[in-house]
Amino acid sequence: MVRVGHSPQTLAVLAALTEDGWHHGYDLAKRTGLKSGTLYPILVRLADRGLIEARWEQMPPTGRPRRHLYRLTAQGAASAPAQEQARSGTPRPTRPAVAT
Amino acid sequence: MTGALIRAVNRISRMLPDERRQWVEALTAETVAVPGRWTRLAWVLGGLAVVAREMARQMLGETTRELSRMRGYVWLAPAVLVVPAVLALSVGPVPLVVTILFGLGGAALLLYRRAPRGRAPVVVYAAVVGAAAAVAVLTAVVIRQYPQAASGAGAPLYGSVLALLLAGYVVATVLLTRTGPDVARYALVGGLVSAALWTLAIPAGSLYRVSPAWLAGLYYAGLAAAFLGPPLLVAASLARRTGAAEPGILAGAATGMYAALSNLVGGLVLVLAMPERVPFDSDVLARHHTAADILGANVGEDLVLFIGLLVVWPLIGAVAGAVGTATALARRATTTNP
Repeated sequence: MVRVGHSPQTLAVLAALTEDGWHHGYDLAKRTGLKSGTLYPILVRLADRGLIEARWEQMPPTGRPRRHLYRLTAQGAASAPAQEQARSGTPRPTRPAVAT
Repeated sequence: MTGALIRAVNRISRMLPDERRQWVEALTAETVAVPGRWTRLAWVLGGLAVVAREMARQMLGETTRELSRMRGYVWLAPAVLVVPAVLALSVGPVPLVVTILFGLGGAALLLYRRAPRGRAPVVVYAAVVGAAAAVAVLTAVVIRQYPQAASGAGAPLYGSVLALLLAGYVVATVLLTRTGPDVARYALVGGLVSAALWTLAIPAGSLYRVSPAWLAGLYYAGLAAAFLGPPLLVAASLARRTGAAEPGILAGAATGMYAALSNLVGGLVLVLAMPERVPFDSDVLARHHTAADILGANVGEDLVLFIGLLVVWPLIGAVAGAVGTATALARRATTTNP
């Protein structure tokens, strides 16, 4: 069972992940305005709970290390802010996008 | 600078299990995408926060698991309180030996199902239990010969702390041997070397006055080397062999632990072997004039120092171990990636 009552930061990360495709850490940091020291523990926790899946980039361009990529699982998508908002009728939390 | 910090963060993250370490690697891999030198630096520093958080989580989890396994032994808690109570009534040789052996017995019982396996862990475990029992017997002999050693108002407190620390040493040794037999084995050897140098150098320094300034400086430098050198070298040696930080730091702390324990045994042996020739404290010599008084006062007052070392030496050993580990891992990384 998915735990309800995510923190505003976790909701912001889930919201950023609702867009299709795989996302990398810096992209999520830009979208949510979270620092790396806050963002990654949230990602670890979400992965532990099965709300996101993570994989390493298959073929990174030369000169750049391979990136770790993230996307919502079906379970995560169900608990993402847009769905929660639709269920509860409350507006989704918004955060300024501060580049880190 | 950022590159060095990334290497440091990745190196420290080796203390985490593989499935956790990959998150730190993921964070540092993003650094190239972060624009701006200071922003990049702040991004990597966030990696340190992630490592610290994960390590705290691991330690909390392990502690909780250990405590839940030990819940069947909750009845031992009142027994631990009995030790200070008995010693508060009397600090004669018999109560002291009984309480220390009681503490050791409690520790052995606590660890009955978790006894170390394999030759090296058993040898280390036996050596520590033997040393703790030797402390009990030797202290009892000293108090029997020189009752004034235990006549001070603080004696019950010192005796209680000593009994509990010795029991704690036994428990720590078993937990340590579970980390890896090499850690305990290296630490025992390093601790014995450290204690041999320190225990003999302290009375030697008092006997043969080192009056010239350069000689005194050399003497104290030698003492510092005896105190810090073995934990540092043992940690560096293990870190170089394993390529991991945790065994090195643990070995540094354990080396300090075994050095302090051996020093306590050695100090008691020296006091008994040379009652008139081991003036540990010049203040004591100024205030006491017969051999029995000097020895009694020395033992009574210096016991505090010996007990203090049981606490301080492992802590300083851990710090020295961390320095040795960091140096060894840095050299290993340079050798691997020139």
